[in-house]
Amino acid sequence: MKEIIQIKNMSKSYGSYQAIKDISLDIYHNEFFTLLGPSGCGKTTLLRTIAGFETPTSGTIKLHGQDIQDLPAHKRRVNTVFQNYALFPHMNLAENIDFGLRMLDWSADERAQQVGEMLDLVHMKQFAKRMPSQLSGGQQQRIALARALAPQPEVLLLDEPLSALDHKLRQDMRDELQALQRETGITFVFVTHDQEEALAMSDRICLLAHGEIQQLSDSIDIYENPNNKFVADFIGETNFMPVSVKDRSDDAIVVDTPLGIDIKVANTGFKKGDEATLSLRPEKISINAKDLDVNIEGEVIHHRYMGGYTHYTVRVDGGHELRVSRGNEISNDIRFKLNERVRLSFAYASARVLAA
Amino acid sequence: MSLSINDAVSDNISEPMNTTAENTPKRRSVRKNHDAKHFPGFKAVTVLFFAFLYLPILVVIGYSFNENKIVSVWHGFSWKWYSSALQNDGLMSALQVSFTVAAVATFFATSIALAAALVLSRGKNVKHAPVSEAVVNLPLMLPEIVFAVAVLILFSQLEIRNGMLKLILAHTCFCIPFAFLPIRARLKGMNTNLEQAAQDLYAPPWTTFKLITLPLIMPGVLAGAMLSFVISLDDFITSNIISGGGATTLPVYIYSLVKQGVSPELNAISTLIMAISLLIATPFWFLSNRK
Ligand SMILES: Nc1ncnc2c1ncn2[C@@H]1O[C@H](COP(=O)(O)OP(=O)(O)OP(=O)(O)O)[C@@H](O)[C@H]1O
Ligand SMILES: [Mg+2]
Repeated sequence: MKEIIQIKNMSKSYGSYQAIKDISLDIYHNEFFTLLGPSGCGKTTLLRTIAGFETPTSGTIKLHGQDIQDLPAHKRRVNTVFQNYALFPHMNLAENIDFGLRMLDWSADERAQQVGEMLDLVHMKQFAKRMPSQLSGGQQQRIALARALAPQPEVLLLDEPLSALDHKLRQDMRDELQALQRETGITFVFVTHDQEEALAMSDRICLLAHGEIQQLSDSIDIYENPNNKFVADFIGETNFMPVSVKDRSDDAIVVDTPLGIDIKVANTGFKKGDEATLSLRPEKISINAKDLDVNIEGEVIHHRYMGGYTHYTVRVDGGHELRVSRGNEISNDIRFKLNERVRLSFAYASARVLAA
Repeated sequence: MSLSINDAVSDNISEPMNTTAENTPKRRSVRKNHDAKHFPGFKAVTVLFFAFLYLPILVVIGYSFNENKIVSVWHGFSWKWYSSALQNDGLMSALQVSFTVAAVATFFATSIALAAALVLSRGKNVKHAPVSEAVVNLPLMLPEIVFAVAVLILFSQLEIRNGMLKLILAHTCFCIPFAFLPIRARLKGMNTNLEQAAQDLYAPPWTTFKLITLPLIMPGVLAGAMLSFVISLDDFITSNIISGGGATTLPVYIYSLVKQGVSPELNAISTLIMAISLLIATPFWFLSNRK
């Protein structure tokens, strides 16, 4: 895999506030790369430094191996889909899409053809002569996408392009965006604060918090093997419990848990006596099913029906509460009632021990 | 659910709360009861107001067609004061001076105001921006007589004697804040993302300004230009104080006529100026109200 963007030790400060703290990362050719993180973590700032609207306080950005941190925005072969679309209100849709091509001095024929193709690509051909104000949010979004794709950039930057759309449309656009990325082979750098969106679309996810990278890996890895408590908590749901390391061997440690049992998990660099946090995802715990490594009993104290699955809160004997989710496989069968006694089971391999 | 709560609340509160898209249709019916049109006596007050505002003007227009030499006694319809006004060389040259000064001053004032507004709202690392903006607007608060005396002294210090030049310089100066305000407002209201989008699509700064910023703030620029033009055309105090040097503006000329006694010609002149102003203002008004 070849890098298209290389960011090295980049920092960005606004006055005394450090929005990005010494970040280094590589983005590869043809990749769907997602910047994920809570509000204010620096996603937009990072994207804007790549686009050229902000200059990093220190560090370098390379595009195709060439330093670009001092190159003005209009000379970078990257295009942006803005969060609020930023379509030019005084130009019709075809003119909007044509703008970049005009600036790049394409010939009239090529321009006309490319605008047509782009309108086709986003299924908006019949609207070519409309003004942006006559479009719905979803349609504006598509035009913004077409406009940014038209000049065939090397990298497309997207700042929360789906956040203004309603849930259903957002799901459709997810698929369309992903298909578009595969079709064009253009590297997408996608910003979102929606972890579900990130998991569903990305080749790799970079999770940021407070201007620092928390974890950079693919969807499965970031969900199943979080680096730290923040990652485990931000992506999906989990049960945390404080544990201490009782015993260690070369490849495994034994921790004692507030569930009243000891759990053996892979050793990720802990010593005997360390205090740590155990993370256990709700869907990895089964209820009244076949026995696994750990089997404990408890009482259902809360349940919430979510449609596709149900969330249960179970107080295990000894008082600790665990959240458990279970798919609703059979219609009208909410199997476990309040105060019902149930048996919970999970495998050692499902538990993760993280720094406290 | 939230909808019914909102409506219940607004039924008891005369001031409608922030309307949201989903409940505007209902809100409108609630609002009707509080519409000013429904207050008793609203119509009469409105009529009175407009009469107060426009009756004097109508009187001027009416009497401009009066045959009689005595202004306030109606004698019969005639165009004669118009023809005598149009044949009045002093008047015609004052008219010419006024329009030339207004046009040139508007051009310079609007250009300077546009540049100032651009720097203040788009410039990076502008030092003392709030103070600079206040300084640009300051002449609006200054009594005009102070300004007039100031330029009078300045011009005599600099030994500027040409009447036309003096007028243009002074008018440009006091028109700047009037041109500045609407342009600045328009720039403030404009989404800076649009300019960034243009640069993102490979437009260099100057092209971005030409193709994106300028067309979008054009209504503000036109409004600023129109304001400048009208303010310049209308100015009396400054023009009167710095008059001399072979250029007299229309208001100053008319004032000199009034001093000799009110002639029906004045009514005709006033009506003509009104007609010309309307002619100029109308297209500007339409242009600046265009979205
Ligand atoms: N121009 C600026 N001046 C000062 N501080 C800024 C500026 N732009 C951003 N910041 C600060 O930098 C931090 C990161 O902002 P950024 O816009 O990158 O967040 P974000 O991750 O995109 O958040 P969101 O999800 O809310 O869009 C924030 O704390 C913000 O207040
Ligand atoms: Mg953001």
